[in-house]
Amino acid sequence: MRKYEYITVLGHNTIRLPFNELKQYGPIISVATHKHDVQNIDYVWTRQEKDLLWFLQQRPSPVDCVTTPELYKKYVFYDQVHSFPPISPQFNLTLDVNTDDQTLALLTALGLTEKRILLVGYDISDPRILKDLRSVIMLHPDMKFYFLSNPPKTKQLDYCSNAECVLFKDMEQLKQ
Amino acid sequence: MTEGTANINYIIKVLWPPHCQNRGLHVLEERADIVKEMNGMRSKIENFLKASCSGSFKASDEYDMKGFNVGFESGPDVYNFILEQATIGYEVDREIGRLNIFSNKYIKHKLLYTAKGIVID
Repeated sequence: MRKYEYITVLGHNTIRLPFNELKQYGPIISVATHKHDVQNIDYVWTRQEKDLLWFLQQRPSPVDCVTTPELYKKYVFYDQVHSFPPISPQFNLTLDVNTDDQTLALLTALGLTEKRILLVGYDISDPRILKDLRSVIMLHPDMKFYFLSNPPKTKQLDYCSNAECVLFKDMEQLKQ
Repeated sequence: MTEGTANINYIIKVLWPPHCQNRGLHVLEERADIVKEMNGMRSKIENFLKASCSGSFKASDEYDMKGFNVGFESGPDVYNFILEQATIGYEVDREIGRLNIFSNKYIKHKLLYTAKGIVID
């Protein structure tokens, strides 16, 4: 599969921007909580079997799901079920059962894109999520990360040279 | 791991009948009966694939002493192909290659036959 130039990671927070507008900024990979507008989601990261089945049962086209090795083994013959991307050995993140879904969706997005990632509705209130996000950003200096938010801009990513906080009202400038 | 091919998401090897396996090319040159049997088996499999697959498929032309690879676009087609071994009269290898969309390579997995269906290890 050819890699995308741009991709959007949709986190836990709800956003006011309609998904069909968000789609103009590239394919969307989401955590499993956004089920209301599923036709505009391209990929979902999920670790729950019931969510996986729900996304696979969507018509006219099921959503491509990236899931845990355990569920992948069980659903390997479903064309829309994919295993987690191989992570390079020097990756110094600690991934375990407590790793947040947003972090895993972000890591999945890294396997699908080569230039730019938009973080939309990404909840960084948990210190571990923020730490993981910073680690991912710093481990991928060639990738550009845009953190979309409402005012005020967060300063949490200020010292990451390849990350930038952009307000929703200014996101037009990120259009492909 | 091998590079992904367009429209082929799964690869599985169909084994030659036991007495046709591990034959070198010099042996095959002298044993027309074995070659005929191998070609007959390949034709049988290709006919079955044409009749049963909903997605695209491709039987490899490359010679292999163990068997020949068949590529499938659709997971349910592979599943059905594995299930029908005894009915149609062939045996598939215990390994399956599945295309990883991130690396664009086929990752090999061991097939497991369980009471609840076929899964991978």
